[in-house]
Amino acid sequence: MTDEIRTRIVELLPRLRRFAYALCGDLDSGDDLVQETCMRALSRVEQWQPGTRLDSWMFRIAQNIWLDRLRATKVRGEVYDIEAAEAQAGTDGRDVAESKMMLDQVTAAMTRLPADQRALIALVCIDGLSYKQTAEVMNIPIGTVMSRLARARRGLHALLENKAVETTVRTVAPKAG
Amino acid sequence: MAIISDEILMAYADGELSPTARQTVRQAIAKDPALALKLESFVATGRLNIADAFDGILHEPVPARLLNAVKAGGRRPSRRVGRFAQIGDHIRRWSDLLRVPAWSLATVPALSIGLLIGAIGSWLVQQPDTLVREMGGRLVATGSLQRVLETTPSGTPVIFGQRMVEAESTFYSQRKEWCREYELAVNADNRFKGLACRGQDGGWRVDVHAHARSAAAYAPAGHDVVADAAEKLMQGQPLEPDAEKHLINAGWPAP
Repeated sequence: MTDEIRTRIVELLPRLRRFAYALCGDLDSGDDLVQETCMRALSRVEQWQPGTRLDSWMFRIAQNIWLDRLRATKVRGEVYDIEAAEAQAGTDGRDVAESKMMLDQVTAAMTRLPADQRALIALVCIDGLSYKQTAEVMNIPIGTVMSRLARARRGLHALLENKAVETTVRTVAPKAG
Repeated sequence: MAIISDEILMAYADGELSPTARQTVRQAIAKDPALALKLESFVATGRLNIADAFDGILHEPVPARLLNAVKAGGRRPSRRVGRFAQIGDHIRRWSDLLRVPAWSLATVPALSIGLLIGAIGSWLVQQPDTLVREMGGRLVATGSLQRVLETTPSGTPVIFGQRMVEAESTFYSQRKEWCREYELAVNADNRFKGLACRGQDGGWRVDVHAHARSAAAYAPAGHDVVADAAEKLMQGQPLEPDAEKHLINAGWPAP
C-alpha cells in the first residue's frame, strides 16, 4: 500500500512544489516545506483514506505546516526579512523574462496578503482547484472560501496594479524582535 | 435587476457558476459598466493569468532530496513478522532484481500470494493455449484469458475447449488502471481466481492468480485473496453492466 502511495506522491511533487513556492515566496523554503510535508504524510499514511483525494490531503498537510511555521516566526518577531525578499526578487535562476517578471510581481504581492488569503490564491488561482475542493483542503465552508478569496483577489489586484507599492515593501524594516 | 455580489462575479470569472447563473451574471454585466470593471480584477487574478507564471516550476526537475524524502519517509524497522511478511520481502527483493516498482508485483501484502504465479505460470505456459506469459519481468495475460479480459462483459463464461474463462467484475483502480477479477477453470480440479489490470500498453498484467481450492497448505482460498486485493485497489465501485459494455466497446479509455 505505502509503495503505491509513494509512487503517487512522487507524481504529485511538481504540484506540491508549485503550491509551496506560492506560499513561501521562494524555492528553497518551498522545497523545505515540501520535504517536511512528505515526511509527515508518510509517517501518518494510515490517516489518509483510500478513495479520497491524495492531493487534497497533501495540500492540507503542507498548508498546516506552513501556518505553524508562520506562527512560530511571528512569535520570534521576524516579520519581514529584507534579504529574503531581495533574494526572491530575482536570483532563483529562471530566465523566462516575461513570466519571470509576472512571477516576481505576483510572488511579491502575495507575501503582503494575510496567510489564509495567500493559501486560497495558491489553491484556486495557481493550482486550479475548484472552490469545493479548496473548502475540503482548508476545512472551511465553501461560502467562506468565496468571501475570503474575493477579498484576497481584490487585494492582489490592487497590489499588482500599483506596482510602486511593491518596491516600498522591500525596504520595510523588520519589527524589532 | 439582480444584485451581483463580488463572490458571484468572481465565481463567474472562475467558471464556477451553473449555466443559468452565468446567464444572469452576463446580462447584469452587459448593463453595468462598474460590474464589468470589477470583473476585470477577478479575471486578471484568475487561473488563466496567474497560474501561467508559476507553471515553470512544474517542468523543473524535482530535487533529489525531495525524491529521497518520499523514498525514505515513514519507513519503520520491520514490524511485520511471520510467513506473509517473509513472502513480502521476497517480492521486494524480486522487484529489486527486476527493477520494477515493488507494488507492481505485490500491491498489498495480501498479494504476496502473487509469488504463486511463478509456479502456476510456468505450468500454464506449457498448455497449448498459453494464458499467462512473462514479459519484461511482468506476467501478462495472453490467449483466451487476454481475449476475455479485453472483450467480454462480466458474468459471461466463455468456453475454450476444456476450459472456462469468465470475467467477474470491472473497476477502476487507485493506480489509475482498469482492473478485472476473473475466474478460470482449467479442469475439474484446477480452478483459479485472479486479478489483472490493463497497463498503458493495453496489455493485461496479472497481479494475482490464486488457486481457488485450498488443496495445498500454502494456498488460502483464492477467492478471499483476490477479493481482498480488489477491495484495496478499487477506487469507487465496480462498474454497472451498461457502463462496462460501453467501456469495452470504446476500447478502455480512462474515465
